[in-house]
Amino acid sequence: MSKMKIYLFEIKQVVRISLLFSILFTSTSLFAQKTKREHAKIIGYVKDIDGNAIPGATIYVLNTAYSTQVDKNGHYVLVLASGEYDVISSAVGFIADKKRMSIGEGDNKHQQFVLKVDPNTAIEQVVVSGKSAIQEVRETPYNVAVLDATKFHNSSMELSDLLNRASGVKIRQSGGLGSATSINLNGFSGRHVKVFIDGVPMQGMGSAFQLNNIPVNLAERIEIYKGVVPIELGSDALGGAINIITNKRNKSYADVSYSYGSFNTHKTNVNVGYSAKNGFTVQLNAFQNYSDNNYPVYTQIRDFETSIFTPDSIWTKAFHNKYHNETAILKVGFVNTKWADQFLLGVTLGQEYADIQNANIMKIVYGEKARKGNTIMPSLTYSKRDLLTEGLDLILTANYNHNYNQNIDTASREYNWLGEYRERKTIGEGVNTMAEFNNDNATASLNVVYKLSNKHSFSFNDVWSTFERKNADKNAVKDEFSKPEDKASNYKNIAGLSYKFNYNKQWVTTLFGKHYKQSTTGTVNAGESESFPTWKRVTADASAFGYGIATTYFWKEFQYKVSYEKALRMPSDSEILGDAVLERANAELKPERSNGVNIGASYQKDFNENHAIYIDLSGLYRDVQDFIQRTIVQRTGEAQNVNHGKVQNLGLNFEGRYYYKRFLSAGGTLTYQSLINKERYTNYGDAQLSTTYNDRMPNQPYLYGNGEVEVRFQDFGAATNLLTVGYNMNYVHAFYLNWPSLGTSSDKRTIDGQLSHDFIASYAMKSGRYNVSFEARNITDRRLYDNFSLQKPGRSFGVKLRYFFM
Amino acid sequence: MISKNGLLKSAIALALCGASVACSKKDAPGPDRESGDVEFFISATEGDNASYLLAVPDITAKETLSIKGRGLEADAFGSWLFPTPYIGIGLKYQKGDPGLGIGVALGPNGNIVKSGGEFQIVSRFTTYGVFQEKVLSVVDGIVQKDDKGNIDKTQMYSTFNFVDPAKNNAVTTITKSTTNLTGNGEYAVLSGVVQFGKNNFLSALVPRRFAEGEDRNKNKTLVTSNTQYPDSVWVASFDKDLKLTKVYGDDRISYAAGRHRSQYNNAISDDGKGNVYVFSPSNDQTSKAAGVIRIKSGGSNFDKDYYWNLENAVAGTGKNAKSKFKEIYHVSGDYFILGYLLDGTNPIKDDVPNINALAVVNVVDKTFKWVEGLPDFNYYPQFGTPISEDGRFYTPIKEVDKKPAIYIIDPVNAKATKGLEVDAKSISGIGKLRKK
Repeated sequence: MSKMKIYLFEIKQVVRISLLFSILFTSTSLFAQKTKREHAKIIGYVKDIDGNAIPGATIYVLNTAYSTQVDKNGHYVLVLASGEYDVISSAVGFIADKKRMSIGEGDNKHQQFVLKVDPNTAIEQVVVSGKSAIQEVRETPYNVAVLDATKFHNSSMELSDLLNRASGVKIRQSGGLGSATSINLNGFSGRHVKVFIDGVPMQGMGSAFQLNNIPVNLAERIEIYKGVVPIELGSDALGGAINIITNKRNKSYADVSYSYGSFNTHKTNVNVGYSAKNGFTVQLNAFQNYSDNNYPVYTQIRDFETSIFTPDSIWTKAFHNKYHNETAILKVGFVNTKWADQFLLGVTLGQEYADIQNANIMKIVYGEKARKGNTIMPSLTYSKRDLLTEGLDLILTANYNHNYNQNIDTASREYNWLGEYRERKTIGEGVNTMAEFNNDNATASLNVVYKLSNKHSFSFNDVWSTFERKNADKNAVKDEFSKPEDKASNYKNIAGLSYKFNYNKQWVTTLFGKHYKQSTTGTVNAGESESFPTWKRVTADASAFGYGIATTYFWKEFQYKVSYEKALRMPSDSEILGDAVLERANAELKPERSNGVNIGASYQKDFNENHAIYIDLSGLYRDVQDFIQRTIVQRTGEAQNVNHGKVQNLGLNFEGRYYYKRFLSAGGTLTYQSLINKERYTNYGDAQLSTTYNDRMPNQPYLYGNGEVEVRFQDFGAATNLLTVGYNMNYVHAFYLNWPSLGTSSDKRTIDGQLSHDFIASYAMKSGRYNVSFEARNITDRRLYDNFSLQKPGRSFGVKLRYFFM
Repeated sequence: MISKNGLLKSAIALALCGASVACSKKDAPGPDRESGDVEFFISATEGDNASYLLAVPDITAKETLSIKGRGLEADAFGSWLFPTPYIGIGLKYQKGDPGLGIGVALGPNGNIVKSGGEFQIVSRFTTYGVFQEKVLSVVDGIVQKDDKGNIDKTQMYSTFNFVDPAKNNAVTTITKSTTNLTGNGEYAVLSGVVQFGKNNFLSALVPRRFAEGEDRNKNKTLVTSNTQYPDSVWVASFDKDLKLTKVYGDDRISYAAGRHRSQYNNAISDDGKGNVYVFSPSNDQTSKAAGVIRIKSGGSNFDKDYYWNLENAVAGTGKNAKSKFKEIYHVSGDYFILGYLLDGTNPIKDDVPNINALAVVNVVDKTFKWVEGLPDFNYYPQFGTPISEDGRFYTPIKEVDKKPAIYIIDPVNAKATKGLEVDAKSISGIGKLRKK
């Protein structure tokens, strides 16, 4: 590892480019030299124990990229080179099956697979081999972590809780259920990390449908791309992308659950689907979350008479922290017909309400402030493999959504942290507001993959998105200098083209380019100064290119990966146009740029039939420039966004898992990242040297990890019943809120380290049809903080009942 | 949230230093230093979230002050006031949330220590100042409910916050109508808090029309607009209970406040001898020239015999007579300093700062001199909040390409010399503190 570290440090722009070219040339020259033929074939079928074909089942060869899918009759043909192989067949809802096969040159072997339904939540086991889909993703040349969500379907987690367990990911939440959540992906967060759901950008989908309230049962798996992002996720993500893959069941099914837990938390999820023989399908996924979030908090308390805070914190309880959301996704259409693998029309409806208990610092408390919102989102999905000709696959998606949000602060009272209040005659605890915000977003994406041969395939991806925001902050402090109208719109198009070259099944390389284009329209001050504004409608157009390469090589039980990308993030409309009151426009903003290299190696081995291990170690280097930053003129509070800031990021991610039969699995992740400020100058357009040059970036967790152990008791109590007992530990090292090098060290504010422990026991009966689980989170009742002073819940318990049928 | 576990913290600090090249420099704080009874206070910021509070024995020294490993880390308090020689009060404005404040004092080892309680305060202030050893901040534009819970349409209010360091920084908040103080029915925004005698303070009244209107939500509220009386000036005197004791009015100048966007900066000050000078730039739609008038010590009205047309004084220096001053400060005796915004040749693109030049005026012999030795106004240096001490004027200035520094101005010759530089993004406050 140390070698890699040195290598990463020394790497320079020129070296990176030459590396890119050398990889390119080597690969093409090798390709020219010899064209290795694949001689042997394995032919057969994959069926369930009743003899029915299992559509979607895959057959693949462990530790290689050989894989294929069955046709609708369950038949398959796998072409491969001669050798000794572990051939695996798997399908969602079934236990994977592994066969050891020895194949000679020119052999045509027959191999049938009969898969048993998985007794636990009807999913296949990681123990034997890893899951097909997960395995497939892992085997791509990208630096990607994959989380199997189905393992957690008996838990009452939200997607954000699950994401927090991936290497390189730290979820930072400001409180309990439904509270503001930000994803930190190897040191990047906010606008630098893009989240997708089935390849569709989640940006603008509304607060009632976000990671902090979507139950884990919605997902089948989560893919986390660290840095280099495949074109299929078309976005201007600088720090990486997260893709949530939802359950796609082509049968009739029902997954219904209810959970109740501490702080009066109720969660319900109804996920039902019907599929007719002719492919007609109706799917409904509805979920509800409610919590009083009235957990104990440790904070300073203000005295009404003097307005002074107690010098020390004391324990009290959140009293105005209720959260609830109700969301439903309905999809109607056809699956597995001649003309479409999937044709679904859908609508997502959601609403959300949250009490606002405190300001961005805990000690400022509110007793009546609240926010609410709703979202309406119609959507369309069409996908077809082998469209018109064999090897041509197409996916088309479109959605439109309208979001409404309102902030409410109209109370004529002031509160303290004990829940006591005093009447006042003024309006608003902070600022009197009933501000309403309306956003309209539309997104369409097209993905076409053409597999020319086993060696060459091409894909094209285009994501087009637009939005319009009408900032209608009715009671916002306005004066004669405010904009006459605050309406902005934005069009963005990101097109990607990639070429995938399978030199042989051991070596796969993808080369890609992305084109970004956007147009922003809004009102800006074209006058000479703030004091004498001349408002003008302007349109700012921008376009840019990005590119990258990703390659992977399999050798014995090892897989190696190297990838590089020049990634960009386009400036947002508010960055270009400024806000209504205090932010100036800057139509000349450049996109943020990043050069990133990932190196990774993984090792996967089954030691006889009983033991298996999986180890993944990866390193990343990023050089980010032209950060878009808001700079503030101290005295006036005026701000403007400028391209200022350079950050160098060196990260190490480790993931390790061990499996003993189907009885025990244990694993963990560890992430270290070193984000260093490389901006030499204090201010934009100013030669004053920065005192924090080479300092670690503030307010960023840099060392964190988690560990988990799961023990499974098969046929516990009765045949086809399963008892699972799991333990999870979460660790985050303490970090500074502000620049580490500044100020006296004894006075510096820190976000304290976290070490918390969770337990879950779940009992699945009748092959996972009936499930009961009991969870205890943060059992040592530690005070947990992801953000300065904003305390998360302490110890909590929960029970979940779940019925699953497929 | 500050970790109580010193060992753990040292370990963290060590780990952080291990990864950070910058820590290898030998600029960590030494052992406790010898310190004077009176030292200068400096608040330096690097970024928007924190400030570092330090004491220095000599602010005029041609040295560079580092905040690496030094200084008390605090919130980015934007305003610092010194109600007593021993205490500094920092106020922090938070958009949409209530504001916060702290008190600081000079510690035994020449470090800045917290003094009194941390407090919460109504955010947003139109103006602030020191009165009877307390900090007084005033918020304008307050709409209240009447006894029936409806909006009181007949008047608009101002909220007064007194922060008293003698009572552990206890805040007393009073909301009071400032409607019709001028006798013409208009609402008054207060600008400036200037102690006037032992028991009163003065504040300039900036008149605003108000009427029932609708916000964009179609809710009924009160909205303000430009005054109908732009050609008059009013200064009000209040006692400690905010009782209006006197309103001084005159028609020779417009209202007395430096205007920058929606802010009204103080433009009145006494001369240390009981005479109050009232300055007015030529604001808004007024027909009056920028000028200064005064209330003589003990006088019950503006001094009819005293008027100085500042536009003529500026024109006499060859600059544009319509250049506006936005800030005024008393230095000593008859000397005042005015902060002007002049037309520079190299404006910072898309951003016009508050002021870029200073002038020394002698209000008695009516001399006007631009201060020499300051960074070139053509490049729009940024001025911080100044103080006057021992007959001299100290102001932080950030010059493009240079570290922010304290400039010391001698009003007699109107010459500035550069003193202490601070290796930080900006100097957000300076002051003087005496050990308790």
